[in-house]
Amino acid sequence: MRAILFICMAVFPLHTWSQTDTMMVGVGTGWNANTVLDEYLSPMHYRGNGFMFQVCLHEQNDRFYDQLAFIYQKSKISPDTDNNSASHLYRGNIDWIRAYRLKTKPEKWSIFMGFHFLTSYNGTKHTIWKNNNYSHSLVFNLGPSLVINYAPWEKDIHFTWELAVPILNYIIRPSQGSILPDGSIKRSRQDVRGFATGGRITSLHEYQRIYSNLFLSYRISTRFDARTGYQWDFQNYTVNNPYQSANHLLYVAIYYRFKK
Amino acid sequence: MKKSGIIYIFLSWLLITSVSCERILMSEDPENTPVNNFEILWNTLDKKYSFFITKAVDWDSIYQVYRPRILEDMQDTLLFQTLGGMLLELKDGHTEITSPFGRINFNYAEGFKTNFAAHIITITYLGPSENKRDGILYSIIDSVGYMYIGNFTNEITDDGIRHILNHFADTRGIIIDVRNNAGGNDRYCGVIANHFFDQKRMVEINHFKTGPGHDDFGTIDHFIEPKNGLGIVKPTVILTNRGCYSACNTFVCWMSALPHVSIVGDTTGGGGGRPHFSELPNGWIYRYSATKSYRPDGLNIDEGIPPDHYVTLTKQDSANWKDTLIKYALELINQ
Repeated sequence: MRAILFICMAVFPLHTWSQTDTMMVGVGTGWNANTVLDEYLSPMHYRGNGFMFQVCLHEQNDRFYDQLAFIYQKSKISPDTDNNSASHLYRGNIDWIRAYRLKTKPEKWSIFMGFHFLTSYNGTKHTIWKNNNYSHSLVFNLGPSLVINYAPWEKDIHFTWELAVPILNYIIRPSQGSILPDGSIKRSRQDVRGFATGGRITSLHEYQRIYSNLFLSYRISTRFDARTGYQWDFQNYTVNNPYQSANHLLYVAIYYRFKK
Repeated sequence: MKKSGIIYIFLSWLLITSVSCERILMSEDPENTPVNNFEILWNTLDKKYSFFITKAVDWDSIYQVYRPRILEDMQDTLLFQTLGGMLLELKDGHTEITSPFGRINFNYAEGFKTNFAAHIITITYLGPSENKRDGILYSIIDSVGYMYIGNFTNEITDDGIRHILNHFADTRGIIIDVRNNAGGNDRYCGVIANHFFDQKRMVEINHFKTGPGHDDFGTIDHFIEPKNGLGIVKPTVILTNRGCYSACNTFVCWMSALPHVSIVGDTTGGGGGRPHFSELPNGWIYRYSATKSYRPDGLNIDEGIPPDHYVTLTKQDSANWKDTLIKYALELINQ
């Protein structure tokens, strides 16, 4: 919890730093569908769906595109077996994308390139297992981002596609036989600090993630925008207890404009 | 039309890309065949089971014995017996397999003397108006507090154990009987042990797997530091037998770190590895020991914890409705 607060505090000043033409805050909700393979729990894929909730800060002008999203998801997932196995999946994301416009002249198509900082927590609680019923994955990603904005009819309606592919990652995953990460065990620490520092810095050879967020924004009044979108987030981690996760979100949101 | 066409193409492309990528990137569920079920079980244990070296088990040779018995068209009952037979080779009470046909597990107490007669405890020592709190039965015998903890599965609360120990406030000592306690949750062991520690002490060294090799382990020392405990330092005796397993074994390990605690009875059943659960593509559930635990003096507690005083139930005492271990514990405390 402290770590999340710290990240929020660190990210928010950066986010609100610059002068903007548009600044919005939005809340949204929707439906999620998940496929998770967590070999700490099972060799089987667990699938299921649930709900999501998000709070989003959005800034944009002719120069840059900036979006900070806080997403919470809960769902129940189960394998394709007849043993009543199931898990509760809790997922939390803090996704920050900042990109700079490649073409300065406003046109229907705008392309932005920049960087992202994604934070993702996936926690599962198995309904049958004892001892190893909990599994946690905490991931911090840094890498390039691409944003394509298409406004076919003036500015009332526009499509946006955000793409992020992390390059540098810090990952905390359970070790072979314990919820504690390898680094924590190797340093003989089982406290919160040991857990937080027991992760692994890695790159594309061990961890791959593709984050894709496509949404349609519609300006419904001078102060409010409506948004609907589809987000796809894929993660693949190959070290120790391999982990794969595909997360689909369908959402609607309402945004309030602080600046025009 | 032109605009909407572009939008549709754009949207379709993104959706198809996402779904297609996922199909390419995500692995498939393992096939549900006898060979695959065998391979997954064998490989999972190969990477994650913790006692191959300690128990001197050659897991590769076990593969050579059992793999030829697995046929693609074999019946499920036979597959179950074969997989269960392979797990029994490990002689580990925490390693077992469960299917609709039943459960195959190693009986850690088989062949040993029971050293426990519940009816004698109930009638002679607890009496007709037995006290019970959080599943713990207790009474006072000759100015010594006696409690029987039959499992660590039912929740044991701090309030509950305080209530019992306060009931024993004026006693000369305490007997904690954990015979035939097959374990449960370590947390409840800590709830009880907390009141018997007067200072921070190292009680256990846990070995966790850090890689797929049979000897890839890291260690973490486990301490108990009393938190708002009663700080009981009066003579305490723990009664054990071969039926004390898993969390019960852990409880005995922790309590044996205290100088005012004596273990009386037989060696515990063991079960020093924390069990992990998993499943096979056919839905059968299995578990295996995923860790190792040692006492600070180096004793591998998976093989059981020997008592400070070996005492067995005598036929003569049983005939007189007496428990030899309780008699011995009373004498030890009253010395």
